[in-house]
Amino acid sequence: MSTDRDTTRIVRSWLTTDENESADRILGTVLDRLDTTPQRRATWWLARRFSDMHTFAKVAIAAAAVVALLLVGIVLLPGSRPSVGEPDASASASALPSVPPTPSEPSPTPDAAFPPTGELAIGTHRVTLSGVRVIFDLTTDGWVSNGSFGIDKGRPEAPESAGFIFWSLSAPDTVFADPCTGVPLSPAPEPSIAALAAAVASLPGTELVIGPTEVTVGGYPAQHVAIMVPDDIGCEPNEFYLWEDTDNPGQARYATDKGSTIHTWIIDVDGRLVWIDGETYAASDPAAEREILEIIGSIRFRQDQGPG
Amino acid sequence: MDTDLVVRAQRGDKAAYADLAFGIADRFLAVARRILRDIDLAEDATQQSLLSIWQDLPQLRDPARFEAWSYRILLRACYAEGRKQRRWAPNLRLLPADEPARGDGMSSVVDRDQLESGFRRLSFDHRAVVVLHHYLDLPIDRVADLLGIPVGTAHSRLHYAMRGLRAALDADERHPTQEAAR
Repeated sequence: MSTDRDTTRIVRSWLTTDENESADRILGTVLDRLDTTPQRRATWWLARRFSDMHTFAKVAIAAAAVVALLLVGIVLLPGSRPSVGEPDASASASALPSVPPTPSEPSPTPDAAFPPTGELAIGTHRVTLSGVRVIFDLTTDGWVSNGSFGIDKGRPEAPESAGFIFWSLSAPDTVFADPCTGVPLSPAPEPSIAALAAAVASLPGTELVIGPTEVTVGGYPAQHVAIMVPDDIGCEPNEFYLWEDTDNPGQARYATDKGSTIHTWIIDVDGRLVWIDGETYAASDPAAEREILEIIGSIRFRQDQGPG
Repeated sequence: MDTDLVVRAQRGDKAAYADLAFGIADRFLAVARRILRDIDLAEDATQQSLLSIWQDLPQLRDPARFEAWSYRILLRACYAEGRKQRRWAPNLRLLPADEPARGDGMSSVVDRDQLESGFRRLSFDHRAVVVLHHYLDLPIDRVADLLGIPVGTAHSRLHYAMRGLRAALDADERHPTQEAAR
């Protein structure tokens, strides 16, 4: 039987030893959105000023408000409206052809490091991965950029969706030897597409579905591996770590769900490693996986221009 | 908390708000994660609360009350996220340098599992009191102030929550799991 003191000690220890993540990425997103997030003006000061006023001032303001209401009422009486034939300012204003609101339609991505947050149009898009310009085509709609590394299809609250992670800063350089505790492989794999693909293929607790297979992406040598996250991983999917870019700036990939299939392409573009993950879930439409493969098949690289 | 920063941010100074947010974001994420027990939901709650704080800051009457006021917004965001379903999108997470993703300061894996399961059975109201009192180490009257509830209610919620967690630990003693039996 636990005593109160034991329970308190154990609960405090449990809360303290829970991992702590950095909120830097969230902070970056929030600060980026301040320009488009207007502040709501204060209203409390009106009430405070009114309550602080002298009684005479309150009466005067109340009287003025009554007069103003009466004037508005007179103006709006039927008899006070312009007669037929007279110009009616308000009517003429409303009769003007209204400018339709500009729809926020998806558009092809301009030259930028990553498509801005929002839906992506059918067409050509560009991302910069590991300093290499990557061009790809979307042939269906419904793909949405998260603005920094992810492009997802479908409703995010529904398990029939699919998604990509484009490792934009640099490619992962290691995998986790114990995904549930987040212990990385030691020593880390050699920084080659073959060694990294082999490490992905042997990730503990996952089932190998494809590869590692030598392929070409955009004319460059690449390795393709697909793994499945089974039901018995021993921890929650979002605690099941897969691979990590330890340098820029220590970002780790974790499983989205049990039953999901993660395709990974590791591409050697003249010595620069480019890493792309595509993922589908147990309930995903089979077409989603085909689309992921088509998008990878459409990739071209352009090295003659720098990022941005 | 620097009230001058709060006042400047209330007037729309984005740099001042960036400093304010920088000072609270990590702690907000840690609190949200402990209440929600889900890092994705915690990240969403933290992001939403930081945006709401910016939007509503001009309506804060007393800048000296910023901390309590902002925690209330975070807790509201936690409740809202807790009601949502999970999100289906691949994601990345920043890991602390030179540390494993999960520390293992607990003496018993079984304790951790039982606490996790016991804690998840608590309501968000009860979880919030436990996290604010036992993680942030706030006295119970301060917890009551942050949550906008009477001190007696905060005491009662804490008592009920800790009783539930103790029962979860005791249940484990009665029914050892496979790991414990090994």
